[in-house]
Amino acid sequence: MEWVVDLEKLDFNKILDIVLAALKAAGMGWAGVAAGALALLGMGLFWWWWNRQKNKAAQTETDRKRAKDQAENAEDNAQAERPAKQAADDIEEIINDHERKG
Amino acid sequence: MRKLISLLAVATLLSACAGQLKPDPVPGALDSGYPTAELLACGKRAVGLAICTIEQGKPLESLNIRVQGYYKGTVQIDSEACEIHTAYRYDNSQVVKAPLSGPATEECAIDFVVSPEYPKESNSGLVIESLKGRVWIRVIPAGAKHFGQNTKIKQGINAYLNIPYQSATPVRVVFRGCNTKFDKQMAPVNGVIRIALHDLRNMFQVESCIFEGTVLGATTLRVTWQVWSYAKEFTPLGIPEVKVSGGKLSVKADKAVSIIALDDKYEVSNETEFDFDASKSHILRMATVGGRIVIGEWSGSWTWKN
Repeated sequence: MEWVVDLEKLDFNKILDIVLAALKAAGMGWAGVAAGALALLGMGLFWWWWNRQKNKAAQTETDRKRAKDQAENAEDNAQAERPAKQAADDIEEIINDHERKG
Repeated sequence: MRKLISLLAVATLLSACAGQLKPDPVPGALDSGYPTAELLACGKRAVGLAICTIEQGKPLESLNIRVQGYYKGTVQIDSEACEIHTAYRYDNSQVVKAPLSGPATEECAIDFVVSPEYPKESNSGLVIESLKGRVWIRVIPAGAKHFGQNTKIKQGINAYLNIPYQSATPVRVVFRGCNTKFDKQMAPVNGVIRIALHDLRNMFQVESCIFEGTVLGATTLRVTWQVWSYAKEFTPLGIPEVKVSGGKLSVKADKAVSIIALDDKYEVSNETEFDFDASKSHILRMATVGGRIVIGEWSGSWTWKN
């Protein structure tokens, strides 16, 4: 999913012209511009609030995941270490046996 | 009036979009069983896995085992046999040292979990995954010879261990670990004994194994093979496009890369340029929020690790 808009492709003057033309066609003029600006402000506030909620949710999940990974680290370690230590001991015994037999 | 509105709109959007972390479409590295913590152990830099040998009785601290922190965050370090269970906060991309002490008497594994916290202002509502690493310490008698290899392999896929060993006649090769009991006579070919992972054990699951072995011929060689099989849905991070020219290094990394760092300078981006003195050594690091890492070491040419 793309998060970044390619701003170079946006012509804001053209967008403003289209919005003004639409408002004029609807018979709203500068009152319409004011209403539109308020609507944009409202959308901006909503976008800010929505992003905050999204960031909070992501932070909560990050914290939960982090705590889980750290808590499991000791168990992961023990599960890997014990059989590997036994394997190393077995190999040393085999080597000692080999060297004893010459 | 019209120009002002346009400029305000552009400025708002630009500030919102600049320097943002990017989502990683691939499942997290740690959960996928792919270790990516940057380890500094026994004089070498490794990504995720390392093997160190030490002579019996020598001080464990001499191994100087450390892990690289990214930006700021926490490092969790655990080792049952080496008696470590501790966590450290780090800042400014510090290197954190494993608190080893005492003489080497028995093997131990040291497990690391590095949990970075990237700049808040670049957070795009993304979950930041931790990075896992493991160092295996093999204790050997004074004067003993050892060969070690670390392998990260997709689950179910075969891998090969190429042991350098000279012998005109077949030699006994033994492996133990992970429920394997491998014991065969094998003849080196062109000075190499080649062991297939599937001859030791099929690793179909997401799991890790430390195989300990030996080659018993005219000389005794101890061997360690540390193998991690990772989830088939996971793809390691690819090597970036880099160009060194006119005192500059330009880097173009995978779209999923969020952070690019050259030595102590970092950018929240997947494409950037740094001042670059090609006559000096450098470390280039790239990271995704999913914990995928690529490291490039420059000493006249690039050596890449992931």
